[in-house]
Amino acid sequence: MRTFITAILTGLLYSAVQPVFSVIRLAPLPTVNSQSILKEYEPMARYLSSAIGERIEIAYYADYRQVVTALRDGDVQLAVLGPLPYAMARREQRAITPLVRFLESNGEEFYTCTLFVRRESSIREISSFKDLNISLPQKMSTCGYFAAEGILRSYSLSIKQNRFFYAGSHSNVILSVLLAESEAGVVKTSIFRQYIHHGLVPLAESKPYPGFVLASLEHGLLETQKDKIIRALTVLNPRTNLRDKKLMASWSPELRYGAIRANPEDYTPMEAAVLALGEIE
Amino acid sequence: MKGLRRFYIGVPLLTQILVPVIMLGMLVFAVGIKTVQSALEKQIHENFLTVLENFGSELKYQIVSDYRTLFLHTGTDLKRFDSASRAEKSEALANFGTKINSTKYKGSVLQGDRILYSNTEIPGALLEKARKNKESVFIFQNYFVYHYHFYPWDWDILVFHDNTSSNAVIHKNAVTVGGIIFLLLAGITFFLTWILQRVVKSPIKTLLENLKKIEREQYDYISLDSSREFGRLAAGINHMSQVIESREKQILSEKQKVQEIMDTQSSIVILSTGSEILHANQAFFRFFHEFSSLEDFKRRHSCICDYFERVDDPEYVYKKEQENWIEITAKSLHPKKAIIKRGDKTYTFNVVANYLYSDAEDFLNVVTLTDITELEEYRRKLEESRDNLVHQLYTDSLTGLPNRLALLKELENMERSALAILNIDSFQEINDFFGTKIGDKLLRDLGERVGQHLTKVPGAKLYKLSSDEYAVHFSEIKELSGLNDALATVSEFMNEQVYNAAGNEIRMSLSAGGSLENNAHDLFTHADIALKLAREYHSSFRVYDESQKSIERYQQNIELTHQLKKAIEENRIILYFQPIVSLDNPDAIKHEVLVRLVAENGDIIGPDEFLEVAKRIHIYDRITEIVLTASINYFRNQPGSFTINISGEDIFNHRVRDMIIRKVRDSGIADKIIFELTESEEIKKYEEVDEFIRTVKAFGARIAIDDFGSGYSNFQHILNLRVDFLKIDGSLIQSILKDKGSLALVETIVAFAKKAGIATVAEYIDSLELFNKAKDLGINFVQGFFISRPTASTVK
Repeated sequence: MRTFITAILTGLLYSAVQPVFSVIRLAPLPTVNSQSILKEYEPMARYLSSAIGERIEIAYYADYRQVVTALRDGDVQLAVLGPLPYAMARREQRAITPLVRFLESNGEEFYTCTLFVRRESSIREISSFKDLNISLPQKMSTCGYFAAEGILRSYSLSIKQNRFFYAGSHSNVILSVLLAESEAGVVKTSIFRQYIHHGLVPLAESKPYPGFVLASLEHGLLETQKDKIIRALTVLNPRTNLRDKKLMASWSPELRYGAIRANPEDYTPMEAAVLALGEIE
Repeated sequence: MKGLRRFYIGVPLLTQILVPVIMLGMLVFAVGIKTVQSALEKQIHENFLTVLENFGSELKYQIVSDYRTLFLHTGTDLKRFDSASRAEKSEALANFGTKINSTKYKGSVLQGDRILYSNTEIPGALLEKARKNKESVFIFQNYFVYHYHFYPWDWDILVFHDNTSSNAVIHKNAVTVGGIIFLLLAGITFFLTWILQRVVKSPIKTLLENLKKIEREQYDYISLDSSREFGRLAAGINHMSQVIESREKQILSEKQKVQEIMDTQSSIVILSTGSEILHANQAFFRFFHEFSSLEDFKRRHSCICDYFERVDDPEYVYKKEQENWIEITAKSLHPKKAIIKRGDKTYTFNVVANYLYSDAEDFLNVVTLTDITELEEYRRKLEESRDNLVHQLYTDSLTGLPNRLALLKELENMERSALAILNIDSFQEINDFFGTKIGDKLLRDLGERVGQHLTKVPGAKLYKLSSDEYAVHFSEIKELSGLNDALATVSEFMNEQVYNAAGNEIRMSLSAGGSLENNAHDLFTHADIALKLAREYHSSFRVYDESQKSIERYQQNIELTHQLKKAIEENRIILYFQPIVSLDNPDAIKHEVLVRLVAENGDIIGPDEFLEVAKRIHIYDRITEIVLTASINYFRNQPGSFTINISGEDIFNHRVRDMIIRKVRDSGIADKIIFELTESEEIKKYEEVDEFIRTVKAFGARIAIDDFGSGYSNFQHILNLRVDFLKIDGSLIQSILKDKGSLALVETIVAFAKKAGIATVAEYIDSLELFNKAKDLGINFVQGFFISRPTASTVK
């Protein structure tokens, strides 16, 4: 009897301290509009649901700040973050840990940002970057203020010596430069290359940054859930496996080229750079 | 300008008003039209451009929006984008044409030089400007232009409107508005001028007329309505004229008092503005008696300073161009002076000027001229007397040359320079021979001639020092070589000079010592030392040179001379005796007499330290005399004989030699006296030594050769001199125990002496071994510390 009661109490206690989720909520990277996001993240969510045997829902937030807050508050259990938002979130909430980090289209673990102008522009030197209009994707985008300031500081300049504004997305930055609404822009290098034929000229490239990350709270998911998710994503190899490539073709461009297991140390240089940069404006 | 003003004042009032009104109106009209036209243009153009910009922006945003949709819709699919953009471009051009044609505007779409769409002909210049501007709203000739460069398709979108008609409207409106403004302003100006004339000009005229009367010292009452401003002003002027009238009376009274006060002064007193004399007292007219009144004076002179004599001394004032003598005097801390000649008499005045009042434009001064002619004369005599005294103080009365005091005064602020002290050789003898009268004349002549000669040497000045001494200060000489040259010239000059003394031709030589220093003390001291050296060495001149050893020696000599002379005066030259023992007969004891100097502190100083100096300074003979006299006196009552050292210098100096011979002769104990001569001295002048030896030996004295073996004299000479003793050189004796060569030499000397019948003496015997060796060698006498150290005597 006594053993039975002990077993019951132990079971109740265990169930009380272990998080039990009926649905795992995933917050995507808010790079494009909500319709596009749903369209691009839905296939991955479906794949993960079937791979781990649990239902995964997409939760849309308009910007990084909301995503990080939702993750911290337990409103979502998974979030896809750019390296900068992740590094900033880690400053506030050390419990956020990376599960996997996504690879670039060429299979690289790192990506860069490019500072560019339109072909008709007379600007060809970084030293001319004073009092210019510069278009950036989003405040919390790695290729935004963070990368632009990093590039200009290496030339002893600063983004603060120019006028900058956030166009909302990488494609809007490119459009803004094409329409001469801004004299220069900064976008992810891989995106820049897709639009280079419209008459864009690269001037400088940032240091390499680790890719986007799928993160959770340290105790936001069961370890078994985490392991299943990591295994499900890292097992895919779209560069060599045609089936995987076909599966992932409809995924968001940030997610569709495969992933590797991530460690917090992978982002330590980013965290240091964020500290050095100070407040992002 | 004045003529125009006079003409204007003379024309009727209406014309006075109308002329400015018309001129002002024309100006206002011209400026007004331009201003109104400019304002209208600005406003209308802005409105036109705003409307045009809004319309152009609408077209622009349509194209931009279509492009944006196309860009975002096709994304990275460039092929799809290119395909769709062609249709989009066509549609955009069609839309542009539709929209522009529904308005009053004209429009074109260009791609480079290619016209994609245009509903009118575009002026080439407009196209060129648009291409340069890329994007803007602007006015070009008669066109309002909106231009937008659409970069993605490289389109230049032009929307423009011909504004020729609007300019005509602007001009027409501007003329109308300008005309209205002109009429309004003209009316206002006319009205205001009329009011001004009526209310202001008439009362002002009345006031001005009254003020002119006040100037003429007519104090009328002005009658104006006191309730108005001009009435109150008139009341003020009335009051002011009363005050002025009262003040004038007061001033007149004060003037009379001032004149009375001025007249009480014995000095000349004038009141002057600097350019004009206003008042002068009675003393003025007493001095300038040819003038009966001030006006009379002023008719012929503008200034009293016309009488001042020109004296180029800042203490004096006289008439100068561009300068006001009264102002200069008034500003001076001390009174000025002025010289005035009246007939054959010259007057000196003390001039004092004081400001009574002054402002920026005017001032009044009281100038007092006090006659100080007698005072000046007295002062001049006093100064002459003082100058004479000073001259006597600094002048040698015999030669008229500046004296030692004058030289010292000149050297007070000296820089590096040279001094020579000149001394006439044997002047005392000349004085004794020819008498002081001739001597004085020679001193004067020499001073004149040397002084004349020195005029050729830049910066050289001759001074007379003591009796027969002169000094020359060479202020321009900075190098020793220069001083040498100068002294050589002076010396040569002196040698050529022949003086006449009581019918006799006399030549006088000078000894000179020169020095080149930075201060007076060294200059004098060193020149003096150099002079003494010159005289000692019988050279005509010497220049003091620190680097010369002779100078150091001379300085040392000066000190030792002082000490030796003092020691002699104080009987501090004493005798020491050292026994000389006979090895053949121990009882036959002789003594060598040695000399010592007792220093002031009681120290005993050996002969090595002072005898050489004594020779150099020529008091060696005194010491010889002291030693000889004291020794003779001592041994007169003592047994045994004594040896005494004499030098070659004693023998060669006839005076000393005679003294020695006299002493020997008169001593009564000549047989006790043995003179020791050193070998080297003896050889120099053999004949003289031989004669001396013969003489003293004739009285019974004997001769010893000291330090024998140290020189190079041959034995034959010794034999010829008939000496009695050979004192073998002490250094030889001391080495006979260890040096065979020395031993052999001593043996040879002893053998030679025995053969010649000369006794031998061994010095420096300081041990038993040496004593025994001397004995073994057959030496006759021994002397040294082994026997006895020299002992002090009480003999002085």
